[in-house]
Amino acid sequence: MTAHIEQAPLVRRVFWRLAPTRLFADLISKSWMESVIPFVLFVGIFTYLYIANPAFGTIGNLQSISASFSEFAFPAIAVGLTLISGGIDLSVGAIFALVDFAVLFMIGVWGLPTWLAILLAIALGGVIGAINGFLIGFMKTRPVLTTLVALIIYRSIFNLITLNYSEELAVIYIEDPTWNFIATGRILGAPVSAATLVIFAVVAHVILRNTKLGWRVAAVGSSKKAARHAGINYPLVLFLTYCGAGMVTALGAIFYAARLGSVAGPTGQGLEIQALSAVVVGGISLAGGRGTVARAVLGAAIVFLIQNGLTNIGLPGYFTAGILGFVVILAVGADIRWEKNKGKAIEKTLVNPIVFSFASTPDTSPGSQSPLALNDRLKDAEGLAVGLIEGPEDVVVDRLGRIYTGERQGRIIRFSPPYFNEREVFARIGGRPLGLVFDKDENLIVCVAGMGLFQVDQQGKVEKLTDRTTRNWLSILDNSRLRMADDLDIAPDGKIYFSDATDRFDLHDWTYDSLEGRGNGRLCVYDPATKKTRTISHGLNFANGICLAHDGRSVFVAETWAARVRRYWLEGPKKGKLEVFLDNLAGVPDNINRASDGTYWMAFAGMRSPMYDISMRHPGVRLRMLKQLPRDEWLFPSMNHGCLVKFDESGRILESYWDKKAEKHPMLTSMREHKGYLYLGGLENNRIGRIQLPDADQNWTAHDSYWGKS
Amino acid sequence: MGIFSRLLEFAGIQKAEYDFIPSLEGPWAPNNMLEAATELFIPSSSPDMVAVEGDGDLLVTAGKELYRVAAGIPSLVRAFPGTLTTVFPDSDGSLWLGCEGHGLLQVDRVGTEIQRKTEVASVQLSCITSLVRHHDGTLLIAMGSRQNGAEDWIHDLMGRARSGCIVALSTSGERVIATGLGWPSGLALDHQGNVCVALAWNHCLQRYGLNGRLLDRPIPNLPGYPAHVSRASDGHHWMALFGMRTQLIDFILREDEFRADMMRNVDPRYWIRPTLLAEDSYMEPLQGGSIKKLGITKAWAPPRSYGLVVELDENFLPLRSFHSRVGGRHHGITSAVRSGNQLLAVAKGPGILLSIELEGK
Repeated sequence: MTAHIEQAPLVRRVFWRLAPTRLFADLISKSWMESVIPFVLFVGIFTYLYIANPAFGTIGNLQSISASFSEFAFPAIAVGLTLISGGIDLSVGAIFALVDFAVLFMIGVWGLPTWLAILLAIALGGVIGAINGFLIGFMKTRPVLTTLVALIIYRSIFNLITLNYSEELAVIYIEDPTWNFIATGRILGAPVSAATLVIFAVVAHVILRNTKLGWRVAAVGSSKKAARHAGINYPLVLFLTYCGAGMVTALGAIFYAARLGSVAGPTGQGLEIQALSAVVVGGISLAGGRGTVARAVLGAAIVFLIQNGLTNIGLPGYFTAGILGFVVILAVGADIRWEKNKGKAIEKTLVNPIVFSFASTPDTSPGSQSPLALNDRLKDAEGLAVGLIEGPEDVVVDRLGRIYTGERQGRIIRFSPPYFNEREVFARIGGRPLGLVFDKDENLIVCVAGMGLFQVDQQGKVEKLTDRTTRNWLSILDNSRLRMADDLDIAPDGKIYFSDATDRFDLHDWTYDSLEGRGNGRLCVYDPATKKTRTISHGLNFANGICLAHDGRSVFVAETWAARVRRYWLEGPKKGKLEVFLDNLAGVPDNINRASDGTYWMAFAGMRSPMYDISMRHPGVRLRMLKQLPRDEWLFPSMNHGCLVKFDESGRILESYWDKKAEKHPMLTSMREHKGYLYLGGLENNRIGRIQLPDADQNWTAHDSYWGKS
Repeated sequence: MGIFSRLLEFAGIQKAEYDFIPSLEGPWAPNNMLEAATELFIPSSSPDMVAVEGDGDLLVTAGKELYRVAAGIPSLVRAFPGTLTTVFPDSDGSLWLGCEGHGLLQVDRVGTEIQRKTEVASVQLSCITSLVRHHDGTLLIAMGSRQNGAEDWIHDLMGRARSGCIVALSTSGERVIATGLGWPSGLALDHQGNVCVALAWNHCLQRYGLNGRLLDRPIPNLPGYPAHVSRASDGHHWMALFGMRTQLIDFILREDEFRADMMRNVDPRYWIRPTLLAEDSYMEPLQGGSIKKLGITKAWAPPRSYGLVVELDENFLPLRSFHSRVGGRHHGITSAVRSGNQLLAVAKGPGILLSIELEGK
């Protein structure tokens, strides 16, 4: 109506473009975010202690506290391990004490060689843990009760032994270089215990995250029943977990013994609670199945620093314990809220619209001189296979004149001339087959939304070509999976250029992408020689129709919601460039295909209505519409009407074919020229249309145009 | 809506409360009876109102013209200088007319002017939507808006104007009964002598005492925008609804900035709005439910235009309704009357006087 187009203020445009809510949602959907909060906490406490107490940051102090920290971190890892497996180990303190006694006794009283004593001590830890594991895994006792009882029993045993051997233990003095090295040695400046911890933690972390065994532990922790149904021998997994936890605890105890060289009643007392608070603060879920070794170590560091700091201030021990308990409650509460609300928060920020300002629409009024002037040339389109097909988004014709099309139910259907009234299931792929094209050897290459790029040979055998492409490293979410492969074309060298309309929404949610107007689509290329897929360009606004120029030197890409067509140069001076070719189209473009006279056909799946244009510059309105109204009430582009246009190499629109009343071809999504006819498809239609092109080359076929006369 | 309440809403503390749109069920259940109605008369300009004279003849206003339909044969009574917005046949055989730009006219049977009023109770008469004579002789006059003319009703709706009023004219004097109404479109009297008014933008029926006191709301929430209301001889009332509310329209009525942008930059024909007859053009906004699937538009798609007449009992409670649904043509019903066993309705959208045979009594 008016030539002047109102622009939204810059601040608003930038705000909606940046979409802080989406950034937030993307971030919290990553599992590594769960370690970020404990990490920040750790850095904060560390910095505070460093500033508050100058002596804290000295090398000497750091070395000494890292030694005692390591002794604490091992049992914390052990508890973390059992938590991940869905249980708990409360007996670590007692195991710790027993091993501490055993290793000192073996070396100091029995005089065993140090290495043997250490191995035996680890084995002892393993055996004690194995008893827990046997009860919990095979006897199916409850972890809390079992390990609580174990704690009492082991502790009693320890008390008995220390009472009986108090004389021997009082005079222990070990003079052994290996033992001394373990006690006071340095590796790269770090105490042996700290160095061992680092190496051990890295290895354990990798084992837990990246090996079958680790995955099984987490699977059992998530759901014992599901793990069993998946064929996991969960009693064995639990047995091994507790056995391992015992051995890891033993490691800590050995370093403790080496450093202090004595055994006393309170050794390891209250350790289980400290370790438990450490792993919970570190972000290992009490519910099981979630957690890593790194988190256990991180949590141990936090708890250790708090304890250390509080003791330095001079607070009594019971007070410290109270504060720790409080911290645990906070952490557990935060964990539960996080798990409960994370999904909701992500869901709330699913759609993030932007300000998209269209220029005023080109004239389409009937009777005007515009090539787009409304006419009724599709009114008499012949209906083929009416009622035999649901949603032929794209149609393709082979050399024998048979029509192939994908349908809603995920099959490829074939109709044969002359009547096209017999429905023949050519292939069953699944997903939603969209773009189709024949390659040189007359294999049908299909873009399947939700699945990827597929090939169907002449016998109807289906083969997956690719379902992944290179990811965008600027995107927080991994978008390497193809989400909505839409249309494709093949270059003379056999490379398949195809579009992935959006990497954020599924096909039935294409409306969301239209409401966003952000550009989540991609142009990709699959190379059959290397079987590799690469993303050429991302951020396209619903990348849709793809067509190779007649000379094979460039590719046209329709950007539906932006109402424009881009051209990607394969050769020549602009090679590798993606330029805007047609802009401010009257409708939203869908498929593009070659015409026999050296020009191109393009389908408008819908037209831009004035209200649609206005709504695109009000992202807040679109967002509220989406939240307050049901989908049937949302404002859409005018998808009931659409037309075909023809454009040439220079970017001129030459003519248009309209279905004025939208009776036969509402939402026209594709057209294919073949031997003087134009075949029409529609995403939501119940027919394939056909119109005669009297002026066209009556022998022209796409196959000849692409691969030469045969 | 203020930023604060939006924040509360986002935090889930305050739930958004919007007028819900009642669904079409019970007496409102959709049918196809209006679409199947006989097309009786198609005047040269689109008709607006139909009324029954004492002798059973029909009066039809269409643009500036007044027609009389006697025994099914229409004849032109007279063309007036302004658009006719309402007609009321008085008991003495004269006719009262709302004539845009000329106020209130009283004419005789053949259209000769008897008297003219341009002001009642110091209110300038314009946009007269309905007239009714009370038992005590008072003439009640409803004015749709004091800002916009009758033809500009869509601006009145989208501008969220609430400037309609009801005034009374009697031998004892002139007075204002109610003001600040959202487009009062039809007046009717109940048997106690109270006046019931259909408010289009408030989509409700409100009842007032002649002293101006608001008594009650017989129907507090209508699914569409009411037009004229008429009373039949059996005491029942017939109400026409010229358009249906949709959630999208109600939504943009809450979105002030967006609506202002629309009103500044888009041709009113293509606004998000109720219309009297959808154009089936891609320039009109399309709603998700209206997308054709397998070649078919769903009849329950959000209506841009719709045809609906409802019969109300003596207490203005709905009894039954007549529909022309999405995809039909008999849309934009502005007036309906019962004459004998015939229901007459004006479909202003396509410009047709419709007739439906009702079962006899």
